[in-house]
Amino acid sequence: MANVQRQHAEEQFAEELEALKKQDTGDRPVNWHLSPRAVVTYLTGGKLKNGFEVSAKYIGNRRLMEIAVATLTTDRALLLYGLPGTAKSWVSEHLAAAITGDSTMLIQGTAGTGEEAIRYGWNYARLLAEGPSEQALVVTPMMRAMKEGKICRIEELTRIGADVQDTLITVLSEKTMPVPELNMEVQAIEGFNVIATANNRDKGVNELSSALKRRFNTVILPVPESMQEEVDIVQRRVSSLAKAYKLNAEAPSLPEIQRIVTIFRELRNGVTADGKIKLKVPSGTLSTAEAISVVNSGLALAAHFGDGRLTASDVASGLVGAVVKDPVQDKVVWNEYLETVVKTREEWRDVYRACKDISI
Amino acid sequence: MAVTVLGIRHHGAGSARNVLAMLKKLQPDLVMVEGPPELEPLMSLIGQKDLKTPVSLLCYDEQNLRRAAFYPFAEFSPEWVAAAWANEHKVPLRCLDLPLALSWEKFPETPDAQTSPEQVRPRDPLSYLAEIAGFDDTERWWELQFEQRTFDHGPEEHFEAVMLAMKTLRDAEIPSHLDAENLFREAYMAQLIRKSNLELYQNIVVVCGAWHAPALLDLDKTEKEHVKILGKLPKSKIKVGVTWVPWTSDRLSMQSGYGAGLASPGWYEHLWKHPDDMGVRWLTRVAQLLRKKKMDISTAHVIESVRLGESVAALRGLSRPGLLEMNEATQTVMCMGDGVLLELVRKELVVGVALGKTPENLPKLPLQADFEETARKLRLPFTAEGKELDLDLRQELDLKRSVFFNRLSILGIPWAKSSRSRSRGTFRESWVLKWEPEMMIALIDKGVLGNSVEDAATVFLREQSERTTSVGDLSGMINRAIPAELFEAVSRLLKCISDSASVSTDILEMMQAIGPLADTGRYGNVRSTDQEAIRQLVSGLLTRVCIGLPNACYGLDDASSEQMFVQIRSVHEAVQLLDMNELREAWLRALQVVAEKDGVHALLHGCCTRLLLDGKWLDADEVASQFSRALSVGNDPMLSAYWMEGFLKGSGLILLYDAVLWNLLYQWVGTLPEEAFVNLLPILRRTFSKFEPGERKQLGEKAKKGQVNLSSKALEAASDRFDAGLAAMPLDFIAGLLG
Repeated sequence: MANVQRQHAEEQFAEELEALKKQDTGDRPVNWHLSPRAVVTYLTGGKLKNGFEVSAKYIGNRRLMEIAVATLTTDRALLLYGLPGTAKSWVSEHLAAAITGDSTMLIQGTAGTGEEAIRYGWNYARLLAEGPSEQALVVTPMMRAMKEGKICRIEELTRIGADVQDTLITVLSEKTMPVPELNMEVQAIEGFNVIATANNRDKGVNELSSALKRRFNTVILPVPESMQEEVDIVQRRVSSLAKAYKLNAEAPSLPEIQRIVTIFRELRNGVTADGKIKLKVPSGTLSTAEAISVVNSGLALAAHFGDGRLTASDVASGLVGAVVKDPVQDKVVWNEYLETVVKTREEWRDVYRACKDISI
Repeated sequence: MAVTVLGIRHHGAGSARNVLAMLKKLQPDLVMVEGPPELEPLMSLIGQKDLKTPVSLLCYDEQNLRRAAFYPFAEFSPEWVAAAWANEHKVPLRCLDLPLALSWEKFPETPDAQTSPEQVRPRDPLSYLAEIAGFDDTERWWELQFEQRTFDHGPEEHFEAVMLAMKTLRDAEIPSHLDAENLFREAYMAQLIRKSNLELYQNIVVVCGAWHAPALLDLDKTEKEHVKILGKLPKSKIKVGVTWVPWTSDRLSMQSGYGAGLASPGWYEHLWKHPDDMGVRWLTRVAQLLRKKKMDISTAHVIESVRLGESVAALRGLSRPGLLEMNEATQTVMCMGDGVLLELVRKELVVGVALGKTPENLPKLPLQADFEETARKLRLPFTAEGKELDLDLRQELDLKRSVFFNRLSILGIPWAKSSRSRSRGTFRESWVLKWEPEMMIALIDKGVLGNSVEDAATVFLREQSERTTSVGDLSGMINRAIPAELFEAVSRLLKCISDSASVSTDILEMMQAIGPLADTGRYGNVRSTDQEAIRQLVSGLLTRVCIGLPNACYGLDDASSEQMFVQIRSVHEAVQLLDMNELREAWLRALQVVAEKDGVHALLHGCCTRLLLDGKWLDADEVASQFSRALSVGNDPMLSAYWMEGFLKGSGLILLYDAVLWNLLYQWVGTLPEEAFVNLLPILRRTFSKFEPGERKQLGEKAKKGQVNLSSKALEAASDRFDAGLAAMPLDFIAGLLG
């Protein structure tokens, strides 16, 4: 197992889960490995009574995690909604790992996901040889989760076609999955639930039907609230990615990252950091993940074509590309931002010049 | 003789409930509630039908109307509940606090305050208790601990717990930022209770802010000290006027005479009316509201919200869900996680939209008094028939009158109507005065806005400015605020405009704002700080206009192009007025882009080309070649005519000077087939008819002569020296002679 590229959450944080379990005195819902409160602690981090330090998996508002966990204690399914790059899948994996100790029951939603990926499929060789039987049934993660009372995760729920999405309705409301070919059904045992993730601003998504919507409690994961939080996340991810790509570049200085995050936040929020000037908002999402990729591509430029030090001109092209998604409207937004905000900041002269050089 | 002190939180629904229970139990013969004694006479109206919450007591200094304090009440305010009970049971009601007349005097400094004047404001004492209980929000702690909870042993236990909490904090000498002020207030309160004791009341109930409660116990022990403190109080000659004014729920959430505002009056009212609700009723109301807004909310949604609210409360170790949990459940289950709809819930339910009512025949409002006083000082008669007034703004009295009229017209009181508008450079204004009784009602209606006409107009503009994001509207307001000398409002409006402009995509609107603003910035009667702000604002607007202009000019039809034409000219004038080189350059550059951009109306092409020529951005040769391109035979004659209109509108002098352009035009007209020429006549007429009569005449003369011979340099030089104005004078004269 040592050489897998990425471990499951329950393996990577096995020690923390074990420590939490030992300390946990709260009531546990049936088939839960931890009490709801301990699950929240696992996600948001904290110090246990015996001094054991649990790392924070989710940096942000603790209340959101409380709502998510409380949802799972009722029999409602949980939908994590938000912009790309707001840690939805990450939270979903860790929730499953903490609650059932198993985050592997996963259905990846795509435009091509069919009903058989959610309900069950057939092993056709067996089906032809033996006729319909339980042995010929291909059990999906959903069916397995129902049988074992675990949590099934669905990634990118809104990418799945609307008709296929609706197969979930019976599962979520009746907690059963009929298999008419065998005249049987699989009934979910207690502890079963579904966590789905979805993007709210993306192309090619299928809006959920209101019947399905009604079966989910929705928690929107926001972009990081404070500047400090976001700079923190960017810095951490950039340094870990730079290591992974073995980039021969100096780690970007804190002011440089702060500057990029400031630009992202100001344009995203439509107001300057000091709250004095309002701004137009571009059409793109400007998520933290994009800020990270701007810094990363800047680092790659600096490493391969520059002197290894991240300069304004290295990030400029990535920055403009991230902001200007619509060639007409966003261009106006970006030019206004450059002229009214960037230009007036003395210490941002290099950014202004570098961005001006890229004529768009 | 017994005194029962009930410590409450102002506007606390749970406190009010417990106060009521205690009153019923104790049946006191005197009720004392916190509040300056000046309020006493009007408090007796509480409980009457035509006084409907939310209302507020307004206290003001009769000599200085700007000094005022509000004491708002909701149905669930403990003070209101206690007063209503007392009035209903014919029990005497007294107010308990330092008189306002005294607290408005300058206070002798306490020794503490003298030694450390720059002390940081200490933290809220209650936050210590909240922190121990594991809350980061003190308000929430108090709410869960005292306002929502029912104690097993009834209201006595509730007040015992409050008293214990406060006594503990005070005994630990935890400072509060109100300490200095409280020293006098509490001494005075205690003294008032002692006085009532002497009057042989047997069973007194005192309702006061929880923090004061411990100080009002053990009155015998503290008497000496209190007398000493009260000896230091200043004498006051301030006369305090009091009246009731209608209030609104969202005003309840503001800071006021009772200290902290209330963030969620609607929620508290719900708690007051339905103390046992675990969320079912509340969430049903939320669902009904959302349904009214055309959202599909089923009963199942309500059920699931209630369940989620309960399980989140359980996860947080709370005995019952509070407002926070309700909101979270609403957002998660009913609103698909979206916080925007929650804002609606906050506005309509959590805060509420209630409006109070007050009885008629109350004492005069300060605004009314200020209005009458000002009118008297300015010697303005209240006449029913119209009276004309000619004002010379260089006279102080007349200027003040003009300002006063402008303020009134902002408030929507059309007592004085302007018969000629004021333009720059003139000192004369004409107004017609005509008084109608309804105007007084309109004035009283504005009484909540402020205590003087100036304040009310300022607040009125502020409220208006919050309701609009249109740059045009806002700049209109500025133009009204400046002659009314509402400087505070002007500064605020400037900020609003700059905010709205930055998110506005309506270039035309911004352009509309630039002209008048630049005018005001240059000539208007404004403070110098605002002048700088206006210049900055205009340059900000202009920067945006320069960036957005080419896109905004694209693909406009005839009518919109004409609008744009007017705006481009007015901005151009403003740019000349501003005299800022960098901006001028940016503006001309933008004009050039427009002039060369495909898909822009010919009218605008012509207009921009002309302005670029005037601004010496394009040289004559370049313009001539553009002129020739626009008038070339291949073009639709209609387009050419529009181009020319844009180029020439306003002034045709250029045709008299510039032989090259003249010849091009002359040739073009010659090439037009008859039918096309007839079609173009309206546009051509529109273009040429706006010229000065002299100009027209000269052009006609010139047209008779035909093309100018370009080869002769001398002729050109001669035409350069030709003074059109000088030449026009005798022509005019001759034209007059000829009739």
